[in-house]
Amino acid sequence: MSATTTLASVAAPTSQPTRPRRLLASVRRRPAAVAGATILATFVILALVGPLLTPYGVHQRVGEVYAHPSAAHPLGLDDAGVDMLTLLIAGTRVSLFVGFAASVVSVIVGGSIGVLAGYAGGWVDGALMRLTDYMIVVPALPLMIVVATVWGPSVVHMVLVIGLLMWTSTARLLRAQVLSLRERASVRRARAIGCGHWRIAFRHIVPEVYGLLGATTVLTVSVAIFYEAALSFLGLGDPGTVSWGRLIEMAFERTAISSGAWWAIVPPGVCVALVVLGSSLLGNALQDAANPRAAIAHVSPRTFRVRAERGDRR
Amino acid sequence: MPAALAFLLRRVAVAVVTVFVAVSANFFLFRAVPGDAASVVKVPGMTAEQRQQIRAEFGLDKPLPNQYLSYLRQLTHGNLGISFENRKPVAANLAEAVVNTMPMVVVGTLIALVIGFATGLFGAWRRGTAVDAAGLGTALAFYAMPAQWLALMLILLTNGLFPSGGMSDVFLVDADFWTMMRDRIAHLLLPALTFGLASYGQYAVIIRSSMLETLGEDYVLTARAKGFSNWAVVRRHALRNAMLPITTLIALSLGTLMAGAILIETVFSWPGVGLAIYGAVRARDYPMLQGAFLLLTCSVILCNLLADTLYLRLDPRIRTA
Amino acid sequence: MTSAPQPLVDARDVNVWFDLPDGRELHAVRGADVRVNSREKLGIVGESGCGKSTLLMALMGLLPATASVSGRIEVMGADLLAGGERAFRAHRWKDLAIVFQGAMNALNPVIRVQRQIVEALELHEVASGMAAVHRASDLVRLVGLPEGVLRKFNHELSGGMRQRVSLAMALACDPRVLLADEPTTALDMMVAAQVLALIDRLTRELDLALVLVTHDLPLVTRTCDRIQVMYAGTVVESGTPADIYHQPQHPYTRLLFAATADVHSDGPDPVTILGAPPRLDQVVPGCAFEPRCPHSQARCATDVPQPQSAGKGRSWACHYPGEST
Repeated sequence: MSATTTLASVAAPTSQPTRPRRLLASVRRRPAAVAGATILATFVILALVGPLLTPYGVHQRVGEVYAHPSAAHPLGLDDAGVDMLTLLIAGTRVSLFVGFAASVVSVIVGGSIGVLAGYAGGWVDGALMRLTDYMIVVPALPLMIVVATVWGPSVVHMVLVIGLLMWTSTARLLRAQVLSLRERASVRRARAIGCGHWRIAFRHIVPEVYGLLGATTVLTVSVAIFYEAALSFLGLGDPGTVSWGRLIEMAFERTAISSGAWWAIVPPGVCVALVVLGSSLLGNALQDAANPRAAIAHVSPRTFRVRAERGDRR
Repeated sequence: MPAALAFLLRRVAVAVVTVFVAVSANFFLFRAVPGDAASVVKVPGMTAEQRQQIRAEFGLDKPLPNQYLSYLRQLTHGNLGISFENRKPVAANLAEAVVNTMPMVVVGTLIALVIGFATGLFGAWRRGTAVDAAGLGTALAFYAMPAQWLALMLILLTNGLFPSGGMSDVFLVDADFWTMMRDRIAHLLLPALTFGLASYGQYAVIIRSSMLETLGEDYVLTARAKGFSNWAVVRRHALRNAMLPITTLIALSLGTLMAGAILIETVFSWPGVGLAIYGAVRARDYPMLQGAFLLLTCSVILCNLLADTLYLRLDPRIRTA
Repeated sequence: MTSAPQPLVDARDVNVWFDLPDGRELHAVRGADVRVNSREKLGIVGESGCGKSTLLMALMGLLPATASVSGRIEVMGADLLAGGERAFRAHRWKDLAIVFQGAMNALNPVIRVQRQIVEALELHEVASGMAAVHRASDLVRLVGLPEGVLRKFNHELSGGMRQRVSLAMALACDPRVLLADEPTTALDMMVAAQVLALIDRLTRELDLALVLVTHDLPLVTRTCDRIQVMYAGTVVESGTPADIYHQPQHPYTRLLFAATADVHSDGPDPVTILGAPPRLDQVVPGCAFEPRCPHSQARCATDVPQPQSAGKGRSWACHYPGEST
């Protein structure tokens, strides 16, 4: 027993493979996680019930160009006299859809590659990891730009472009986990009694990593929404739909700045920032909860406290 | 040292393989266009004959393996092809763009590093306090903002105080050196500030967690047992060790920085690589896009190699292990 | 054994608590006394998690910010808890030096051994410049290592060499007391024996006092002048090796002897102490050892046994001392 091991285990009891309830409980104790989850939930609800909230259409001209915010139009009108709030809510649906769908694509791709690499080993592992190494160094946005330019603008393409390029961290995470679990007694036993590969993967490996997997998924949502905004801004978004990224692009391309129409610029960016912040807060908290690190500092501005009270000796 | 040499050689080998993969991917990505690149070139009223001429000019009428080999041959001569748009060599266009991008990215990164280090180190030191939470929260908030939007917000907030388009005032001719300098700096200010604010968040987070991890190491306890004051422990033992992972992570973050550069240059019409990419996207200028992508990928690979070399100098464990 | 009028270390009724993340507290050390006289060798023995290492950390003031401490800690007559970090720092390494557990990364991985020894010499103004370098090479020779070790990094050393370097580092500023926290864990048996013999020899030759923390009771009965047995944060028995070996009063001490296999004797097979030490985040109403004690009686579950002194540092805390196993 050493000082550090004692102290570390005191400061942060390392939780073994996290079960759902424990994970939830430990997430609920983190204010950042609660804040992140609240932000995300609010936007998801907004996307679901959105159309009920405003009576206008996304192409409907309801007043003059860049009309100031008013009671009827709390966020004013855009360069075509369309209600900004309506556009923002419509954008929520598209942006969140792209974010979540791309995240799911990336987790499926990354999960399959990671599990396959870790499980198969040998040259399969080598080849897949080389591919992953390459995908990690390749600058993501330029590659997305290239692919999106070649494929042409559409929402489905956007989801695939982002999803197919963001899977590296999931793949690495799962591969590492599979490698460490492969030699565990329970897995070896399962293999010895002849369990199929998929059964072993889903019964023994996925349950061990879903905490981290959840964290990566949530973190990928934030990255995907970020890239959606970037690609749309560069004119690679679906011209037929409204997303937050398209709204920022429109504010830039048209005359929102020179007209001083802040209401056309500020809200879409705030929405992107909030959702990205929300999912990174929640994702990081999930990551910490699933993989708690020793929380001891040997130097800190505060020292231990001295108490006057006496101990057990009565 | 042979171990160090082996490490470096391995890294160089990996880099070379990755560059080769990038070069090949670059070729095949653009050949995956339905039809071919020439059919997408948007020239109104282009006849089938002209189209065929373009195909011949760019070698698109030859079989794929031949195209690939000639592409590789051209690359070894530094030839990235001819821009569809301005008919100048892509390499020349890019060279000019890189020279323009540099000051913006370098100054922006310096701003990001200064704010990131301050936030990260202070947060780790005062971890769990309100100051830590506020610093980390601000960093994450800036990191969450789309760079292009942050750029627009800064333009909106400064309200014309600083120039927000281009690298210099085109009407400023025959001015003396200092006026030119001032003009350049004024133009640089907003783009570089946007770049710094948009990217400092990731540095702050990385530095904070690396420092936190180091403060929990056993040798830090040894240093305190020796009688060093807190500050001396941090300066002598914690800082240098915390820097190790940071060098690699900063090199790895270069890819994400590119994204910021593209978006910010677009907003500020800064004539760098980012604006070149934006222009190439708008004009469907494939050779230009291809060249820019290759350039960015190779520079990221090169930076990773540099980070590995630096790591080798900083961490004796790799040198001799 | 000479008895100095004033002990070098005199800690009384030391309690240490740790804040747990869920807001509760863990009472790791519960009213322990530690007294170390000049040139005395004190052994502190107990199972993992009994608070013996925490007690050492408390003596050096190296507990983390999540800890709180009560009691009195005096080093060479100075009340350190009252003086705070500055007071502790005044005595670290110059008077109290420590060798950490072998499994720890006590050496900085990116700084050469020489620099790590020299920096202590310079900080405490023992030597500087070339004199410090010479002293460093004297020190590594003293612990039986070649001078070349000074140019090495941590990862280039074997476990035994690391502990010797740690020992050289601890001896750098001629401390009065050497604390050794399980210095031989993670070392194989031969190397462990060599390192212990070295510590034993050097403390004698350099007139140091030693506090040896270990779980190996037979070892301390062979090497130390006085022994304290700890259980669940409390000192349950203390005395000379002869007292402890021949007349163990606390059932835990007897079980500790029985549990240690002695490869040299033909005695009975080692016994396992059933059960695990109590969780220190709970308040125990009676004797902490009661749930595992083969002789426990009704009173043991309700009353905390107070230490009974038999003079000359001999004491135990048990309601029914001396019950035979």
